[in-house]
Amino acid sequence: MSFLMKLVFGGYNTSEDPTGVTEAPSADQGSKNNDGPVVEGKFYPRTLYKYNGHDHESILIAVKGKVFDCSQSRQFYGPSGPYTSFAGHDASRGLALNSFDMETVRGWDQPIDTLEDLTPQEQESLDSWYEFFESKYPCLGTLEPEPGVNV
Amino acid sequence: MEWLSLIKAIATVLAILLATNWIFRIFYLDLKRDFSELAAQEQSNVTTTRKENETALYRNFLLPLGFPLVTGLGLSLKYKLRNGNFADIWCAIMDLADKNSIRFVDQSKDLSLQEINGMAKYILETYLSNAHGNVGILVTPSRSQGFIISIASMMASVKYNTLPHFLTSMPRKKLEDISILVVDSWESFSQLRGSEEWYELIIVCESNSSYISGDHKNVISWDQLIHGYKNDNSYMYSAPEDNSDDSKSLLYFTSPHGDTTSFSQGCLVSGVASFVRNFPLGHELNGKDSLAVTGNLSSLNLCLQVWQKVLAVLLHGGKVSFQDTLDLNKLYNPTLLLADANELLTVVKRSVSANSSFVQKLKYQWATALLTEGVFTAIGQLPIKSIEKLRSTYLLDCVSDSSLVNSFPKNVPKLKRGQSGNTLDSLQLNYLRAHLGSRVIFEYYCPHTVMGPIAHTNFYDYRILPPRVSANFIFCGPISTTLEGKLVQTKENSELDVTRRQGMLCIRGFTIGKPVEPARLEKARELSGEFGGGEGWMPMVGIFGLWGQDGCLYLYK
Repeated sequence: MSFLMKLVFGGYNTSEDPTGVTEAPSADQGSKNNDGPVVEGKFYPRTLYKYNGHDHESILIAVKGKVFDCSQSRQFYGPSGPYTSFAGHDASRGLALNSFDMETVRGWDQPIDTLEDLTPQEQESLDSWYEFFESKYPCLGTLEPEPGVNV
Repeated sequence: MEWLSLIKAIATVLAILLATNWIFRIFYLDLKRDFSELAAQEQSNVTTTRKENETALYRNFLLPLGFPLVTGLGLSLKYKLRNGNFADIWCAIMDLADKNSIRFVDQSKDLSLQEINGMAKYILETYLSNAHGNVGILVTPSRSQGFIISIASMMASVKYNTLPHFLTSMPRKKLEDISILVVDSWESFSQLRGSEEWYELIIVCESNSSYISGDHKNVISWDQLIHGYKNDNSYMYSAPEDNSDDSKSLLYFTSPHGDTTSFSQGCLVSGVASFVRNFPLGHELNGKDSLAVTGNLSSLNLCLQVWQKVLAVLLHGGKVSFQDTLDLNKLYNPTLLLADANELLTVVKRSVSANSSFVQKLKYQWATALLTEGVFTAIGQLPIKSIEKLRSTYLLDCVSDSSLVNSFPKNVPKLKRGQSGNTLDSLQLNYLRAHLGSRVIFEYYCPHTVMGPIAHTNFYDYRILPPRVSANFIFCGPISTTLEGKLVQTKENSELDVTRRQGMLCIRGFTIGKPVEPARLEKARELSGEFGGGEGWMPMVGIFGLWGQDGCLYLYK
């Protein structure tokens, strides 16, 4: 009835408040399903972990201390992809060993892998993967140990 | 028994009303709606990442995901694409110039494009081909002489690197780049007071030449300037293979505060392309369009902002008319109207009070009710013959302190609320839509720094925002398709929280001018480095706002 009433007696609909000033504050940024865009800069293993394509739509992977946004290759790194174990983790050792096993990636509460035990051949393999990531994916920041958690 | 009949009758009427309302909503409103609620809520593409102390980057959703900003006309140069320049536009305009024309404020009849082109080419080859500097223009493009000399100078910007330098007041100190000065009258000429010697040539856009004395051999009248021209309906241009013309400067503009900004050919072509693209499918620009540029838009202060729309309309074979004062009854049956927002609102209010019949009020109510449901209707249009064909109206609104933005200060001022109280809100925009029977697009400008709007509302966006939003914010719509934007945190305004999409506006794109003065250019570079990390971002100092959840820009009033 409301529309006919407005047509006859005047009146109009107002839209919802898009600014959020009249509603409860929200820290939403962009996507409504997640808690906003990824903030570029410094990542800890704990903060990196959620960007695994499942808990957050973005897929971030750390290689040699740099964090890359690999969301465009969801088919490889996303849930059910062949390299999904790398998503949200430091993938350096896995790439160096050309292994996708879960054993090659460390949990967020473990110290960051120093990669000191890699052979020259493995180091070379890692360097070529690093070059590949650098040329293909945007770099969003660095992976650093979190005081009290990783050090 | 009678009671029973009465109840039956009331129930029947109620059922009919409910059914009508339901049918109207389902079969009429949903089918006729221009803009779905989903589209209204997603007017920008937002990046999935952001830097610390900044919001994400916002781009108009009219740009497909992954595509670059609108950079130009997309012309072919052998196997490559190029953006184009003024000469490409004018060449294409002259290909369609058989029927279209322009009505200027100083002419009682239309001037054909053959005449304009003939005069411009004559001036170009006779006076500008060997000029030693730029052409300082103190005549608005709303006057035929101002328009023609501007076109001639823009032709020269491609061919001879002589630029039009638009001035807003008589120069009181010598501008080194200007060798030819164009003034509107002999009265203006008399105000030069000895500065005549600064210029190689002074062109006075009046016919009377009795003022020319032996003392001033460098002065000519308009009649002398164009003496011997012939109508010409062709303008030939072929781009060089190295594409160098596209990167040349197009014009200089000196603001009323004395700051000179340079705009490139890219600023013009990307603005033209953006304006053309903003028309949705089924509403494209065509040869039947007629653009009216009215009121304040004809002033020297805002003349920079008319070129993109004027050339876009001419490019499609349409007509253009200029009018010094905005009067709805005296428009030349335009389909497109470019006007100052507050000026138009005042004029429409006046016309509404002159046409305040009950039927007209009822029509307005219907139009408003339909518009807020997302259905466009011209039923409430005022009974004024000259606006019968009007289909799209562009409202210009400017930043409150353009000189602050243009001065690139190191210290960001504190946000002061209540500086833009006169800006039109969404309710007033729908008031204009209903009474004009036209789509209304609100455009927000920084008139001396950016060529074309920074942001503008969507063609189909007829939403009325809650009163509290309108009281606090200017609704600007999504950022223009030639630009991308972000908001940054400033230490002076720490209450604006970037995690809640608030901050100071920074823009990047193809319609932004470049400061000419070395000191100002250096200040701009420093500021850009501070807020944009040197990635080409231009901080709009003093413009604070927030990104709505609908992707639109809302600036604090």
